Amino acid sequence: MTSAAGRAGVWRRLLGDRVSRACLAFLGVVALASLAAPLLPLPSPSALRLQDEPLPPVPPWRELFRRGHRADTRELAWPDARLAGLRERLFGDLETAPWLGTDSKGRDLLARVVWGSRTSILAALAAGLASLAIGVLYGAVAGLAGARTDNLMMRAVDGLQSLPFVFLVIFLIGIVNAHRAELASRFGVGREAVFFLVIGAVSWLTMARVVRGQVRLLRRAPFVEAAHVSGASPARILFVHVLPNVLPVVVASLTLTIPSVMLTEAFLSFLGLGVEPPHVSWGILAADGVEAINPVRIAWWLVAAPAAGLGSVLLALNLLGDGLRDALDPRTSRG
Amino acid sequence: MALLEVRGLSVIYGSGDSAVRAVVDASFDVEAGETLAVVGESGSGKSTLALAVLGLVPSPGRVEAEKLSFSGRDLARMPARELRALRGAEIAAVFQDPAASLCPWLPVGEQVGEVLEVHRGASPRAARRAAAAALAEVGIADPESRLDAFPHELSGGMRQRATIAMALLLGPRLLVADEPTSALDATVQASILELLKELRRKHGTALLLVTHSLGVVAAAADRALVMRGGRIVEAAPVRELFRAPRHEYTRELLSSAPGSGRP
Repeated sequence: MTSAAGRAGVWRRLLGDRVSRACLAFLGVVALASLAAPLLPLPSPSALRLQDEPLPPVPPWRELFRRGHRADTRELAWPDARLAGLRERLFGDLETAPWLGTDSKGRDLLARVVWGSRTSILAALAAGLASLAIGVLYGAVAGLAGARTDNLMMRAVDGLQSLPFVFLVIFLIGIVNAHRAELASRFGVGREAVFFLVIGAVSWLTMARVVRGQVRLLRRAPFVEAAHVSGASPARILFVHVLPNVLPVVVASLTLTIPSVMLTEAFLSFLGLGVEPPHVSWGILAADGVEAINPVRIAWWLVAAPAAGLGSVLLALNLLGDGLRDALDPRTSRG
Repeated sequence: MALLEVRGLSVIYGSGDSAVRAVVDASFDVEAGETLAVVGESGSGKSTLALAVLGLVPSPGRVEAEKLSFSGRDLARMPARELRALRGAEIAAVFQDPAASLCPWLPVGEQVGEVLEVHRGASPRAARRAAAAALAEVGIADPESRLDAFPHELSGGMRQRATIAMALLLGPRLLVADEPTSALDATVQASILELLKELRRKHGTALLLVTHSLGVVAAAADRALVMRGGRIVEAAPVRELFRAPRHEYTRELLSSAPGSGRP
C-alpha cells in the first residue's frame, strides 16, 4: 500500500540529488552498452591477430573509425545474433579504432571491456535478486516469527555461511567440469549457470541476517502492535508496516553486496574458476593484463581499462546507494 | 452481561520456581459505554493487564484466565482469524507514545484509513475520504492537507489525535488506552482527555484507561481499579475512591499525588 505519492516522492528526491542523477545516468549508459554490445560498431572481442604486439591506445580524436571488421568467431545466442546481424547492415565493416589499445593477441580492449561488463552485471543481478527475493523475505519471516522458528532459520543461515565460499566454488566447478557434456545435454546447464547460481546462493545470507535483526527490533515497535490490534493480518503487517521500514537497511546492504559480488566474480575469474574464454569478464581481462605486463614493455592499458570499468561502476553503485537511502527516508527534507 | 468480563486473569513470565507473575488473579468487568481507569505506580502490572486484554503479551509471557470474554465471546480461545476481525472493528487501542505508534514511512491518511481497507475492503479512495472525516472529527484542522503528511511532520498532540482517529474509525465498542496522555504536555493532555470524553459520549464507546495519574482518573473515569504488585487492591467508583479510599495503598497513592491533598 506504499502510496503512489510516496513513491513519486522517492523518485523526486533521488533525481533532485545531482550526484545520484549522475550515477544513475552513468549506470544506465553502462547497462545499455553492455546489453547492446553486439549492435555497437566495436571490433570483435575474440578475433585474434597473433602477429601483433599489444597496441597502445589510439585516442578517438586521432583516429575514429577503421574499416576491415571481421565478424565474431563465437557462436552467439538468439538476441545477440539478431543484433549482430543488424550491426552488419548498419555499419558494414566499419569498426572503432583501438581507443583503449589492444591486448597481446591483438584483440580490441574496448570491445572486451564492454563485452566483459555483461558478466559483471549478470553476477550483480544474480546476487541482487537473490538478496532481495530470498534474503529479505527469509530474514523478515524469521524475525517476525521469533522463538523456535527464528532460531532454526538463522542456524541454517549460520551453517551455510560457515561453508568456505571459494572452496565451495572450486568443488562445484570441479564437479561441473568433470560432467560437463552430460550436464549440458541433460539439463542444459553450463558451467556459467552453475557459477551464477552459486554466487546467488551465497549472497543472500548476509541480507537475511541484516533484515532479521532489523525486523526483530521493529516487531515490538508500537506501530506494529497498533497494526496488530487494528486487525491487520501477519502478511499485511509484514509487507505494509515492517518491510518498508527495513528498506533503507536493505538498500545499504545491497550497495555493499553488489560491489563485493562483482569483485568476487572478478577474483574467481582471475583464478580461472569463473567464466572462461571465449567469454570475457573484467576479472579475466585484469588477469590477462597482469600477465602481459613485463619490465621491458609495460602495457599499462591492459590493466587500467578493466580496472577503471570495475572501479567506476562500483563507485557509481555506492554513491547511488547513498542517495537512495536518503531519498527513501521521508524524514529528510522534502522538496 | 458486561461488555468485557475478566475473571482470574494472570500474566506469567518464566516457569516453575523462577516464574514471575506480572498480573495476579485479576477480575473485573467493563460495562458498555463506561470508562474504567486502571491506576497504579510503575511496575504495578496495569499496562500488562491492558496488553493481556488486547492479546499482545510479548512471547515468553503467558496469559492464564478463567474467563476473558468480550460481549459473550471468549477472547482467549478465539481462532486468530476471528480475533483479527474483532480487533480494530470492535476493540481498538491507543498507546502511550504517538510518535512510535505511527509507522514513520506511511502518510498519516493511509494509516488512519488502513483499518477500513482491512476490515471493510474499502477502496483506497474511500479509505482516504473516511480518514479525512475521522481526522476532522478528532479536531485536526485542515484534515485534507494532513492526509499526505508523514507522522514526523505533525506535533505530538496531533499525532495522538491521529491515533485516536484511527482507533475510533470503525466505531469500536471498547477502546483500550494505555497511558494515552503521559507522553504529552499538560495542556495537550487536557485537550486529549476532553476529546476522549466527547467521542465516548458521541459513540458510546467503553474505555479501559490505563494511567498512573490520579488527575486523569478524576477527570475522565467512572470507576477505577487500583493495582499494586500485579494485584487489584481496590475497585470503586471514582467519586467513592477519592472520598473514602478503603485500601491503605489507595490512601497512600492519593496523598502522594501533588495537589490532591485532602482538604
